[in-house]
Amino acid sequence: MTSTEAPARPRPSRLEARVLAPVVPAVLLVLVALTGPLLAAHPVDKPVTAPYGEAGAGGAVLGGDQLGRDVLSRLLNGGSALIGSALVVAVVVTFLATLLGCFAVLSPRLGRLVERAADTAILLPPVLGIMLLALAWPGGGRLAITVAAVLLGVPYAVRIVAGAATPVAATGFVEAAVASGERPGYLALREILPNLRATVLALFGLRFVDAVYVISMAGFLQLGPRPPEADWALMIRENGPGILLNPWAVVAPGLAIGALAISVNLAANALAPATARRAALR
Amino acid sequence: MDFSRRQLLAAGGSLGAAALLSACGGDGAAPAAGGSPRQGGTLRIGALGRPSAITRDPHGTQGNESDYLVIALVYDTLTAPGDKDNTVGRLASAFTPSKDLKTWRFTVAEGAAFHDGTPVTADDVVWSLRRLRGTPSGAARLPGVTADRITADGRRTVVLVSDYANAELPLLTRLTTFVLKKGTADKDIPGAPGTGPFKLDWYRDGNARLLRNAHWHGGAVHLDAGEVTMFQSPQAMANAMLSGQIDVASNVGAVAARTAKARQDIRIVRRPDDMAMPIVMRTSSGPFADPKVREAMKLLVDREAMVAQVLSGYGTVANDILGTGDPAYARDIPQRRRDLGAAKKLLTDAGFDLSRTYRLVTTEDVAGLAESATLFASQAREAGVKVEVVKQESGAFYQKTWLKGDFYTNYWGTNDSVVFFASKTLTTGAGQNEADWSDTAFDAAYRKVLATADRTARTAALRGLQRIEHERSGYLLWGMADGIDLAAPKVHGLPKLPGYGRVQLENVWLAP
Repeated sequence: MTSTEAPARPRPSRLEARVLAPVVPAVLLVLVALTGPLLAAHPVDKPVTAPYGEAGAGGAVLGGDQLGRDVLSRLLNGGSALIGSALVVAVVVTFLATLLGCFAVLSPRLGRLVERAADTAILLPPVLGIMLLALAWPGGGRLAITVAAVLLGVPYAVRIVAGAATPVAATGFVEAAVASGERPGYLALREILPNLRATVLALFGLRFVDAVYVISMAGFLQLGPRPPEADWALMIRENGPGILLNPWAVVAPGLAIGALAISVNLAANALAPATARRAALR
Repeated sequence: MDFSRRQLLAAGGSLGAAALLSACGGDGAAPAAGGSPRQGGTLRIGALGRPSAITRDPHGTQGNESDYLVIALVYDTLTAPGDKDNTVGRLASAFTPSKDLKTWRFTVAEGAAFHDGTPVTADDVVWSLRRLRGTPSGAARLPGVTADRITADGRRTVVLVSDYANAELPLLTRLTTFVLKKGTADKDIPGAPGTGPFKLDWYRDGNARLLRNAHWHGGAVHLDAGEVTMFQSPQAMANAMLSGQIDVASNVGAVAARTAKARQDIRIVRRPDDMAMPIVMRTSSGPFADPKVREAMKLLVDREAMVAQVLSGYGTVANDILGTGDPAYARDIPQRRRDLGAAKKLLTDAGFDLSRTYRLVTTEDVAGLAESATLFASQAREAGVKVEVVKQESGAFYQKTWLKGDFYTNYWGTNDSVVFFASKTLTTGAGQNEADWSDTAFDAAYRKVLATADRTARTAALRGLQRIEHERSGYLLWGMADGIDLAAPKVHGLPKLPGYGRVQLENVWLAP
């Protein structure tokens, strides 16, 4: 190992540049969103200007919303909850899907079951799924939406993991381990999982973006967070009627959601090939 | 903005204020402003409505403003909302009570005729009123007057006998007492001739074209025709207005008005005292049963801020008494103002649980309703009361929350009079007693008002009734929203009255 270290050095720096450039916007955006409440100039629920007041009026840089509350302050406050729930959804979905996917390739029966269930669940449109849950669980709020996003995200993710795990399960070393009588748990977690890191990371990025969309959609349909919460999707919905008076009240949260999704996706893309390369080198 | 079912039921039947006791002739309309009226032209008017709620029956439940507009132009009601007096004659040229205020005689206007030329007789009116009384909400539309006590006396006189003394009866006949020809079959209703200022040319999916009725008994109609277009949202209607597709956008709301403000070629018509937007607190049970708690809520709301932020300033501060448009509204009762200290003290005295979160249920039925709940929640937080806003879909709201909930927002687009609301929502056992309020002193005051013929004495009695309402009812009425219409500059003579006064288009004329 020590002998290969010297020539390998220039490579990581090039790698870092290529990886860092797309990652930085995502990290910055997430940081701003998470520290936003500290940066906000006004409280989220106090009117500071006229309803849909123009940008700059009453100290509101991006103007006022439907009740004359500061759009910028609400924007800064609204991100953390969205990112937080999306993160939870992405982690849980990726975790469950990875676990299920790794075991599914080892047991044909479980595999078929997972495949059928996933195929059926994928056909369910997310909007319908969310509305069903909102009906069944009124007042569930953000928790209900998080659960819905997890339930809706897992089937698709399982298919991805299972697809990536199938060739791994067919490799010689797994067959050797099976032959030596290892239990499925050991096989899944020790033999297959380590070889799926690139897939799992890429999956995590995609799931995060997807969760942002699903949660935003729920917010827009007014199924999740409730007023006076400063949720970005809710802001778009609530301020629609005044778009001609203060476009920022709608455009700013819209841009924020878009920027978050795009930058996180870029970051995940940039990270995944690098680890894939390292995994391949091994 | 939409008429809710409830509003329409309400409109259909209730007692109202300041009824005209003496006879009243003519159409009672104010002269048109801005030059002398000119004949001719087609007015294109937009009104809100949903395809699912379309109705053509004048005695049915008009859930759509567009339908109500069409019906109100084709058919006449016995009386109509007035400018100086709350009630003026329309199809009835005069209405007089008996001494005991139980029997009212309505005289059909001279020259009133259906669109096909047949003169209107008392029999037609009796048949129509009985049909109205026979609808599911008939008892609420003509309370105290059963079908068999609506009779004709000669060719032009209709006699209504109430079960109890009722000085306000003519007000009941202002809203849905549309008169059809006697014996009109249900299947013929959509095209049945009316007596109104316009006759129907065609009707398609909520949109209609109406032609001038040259022989209208109420006077000259200036427009040649009117085209009613149904819009599903105020924004869509405002956009159509901005792009010149319609001449009038009826009841479009404050945000649209502000959007249109920058445009020189659009006039904003404000009709003050148009809509009440109270917060209802259940008085019979739950956390707001204690009058002290209710008073505290009324004290912690910042009314000026509500009007400024929720209505964009297009409205006025109110004083927890419903019926601000009433000429006898008690303006001398001191305006309740924000007093957080007093509110907190009252809450402590009442042992109000400040650790709990209270759910304030709201809908998006009219612009500003959900916003008012949101702003109230943040104002309540300053007094240490935790309020969570729960938005419900309109259907769910009327099934689960309206009349049942502890704490919810509400609206009334029929801002008629103090007595209207008293009979409808405040007396013990009233059909739409939203706060489940029962107050012996209030009921006594109400009965006294109804049985008093003398105007001055009734105003005094009304004041007593309003004081009780102000003191302890379940209504937190923070403000009154203006009705806002947008109009092209060439449109003159638009109605300026609140509530259903906005459908009176017979005096509208178009400048060249």
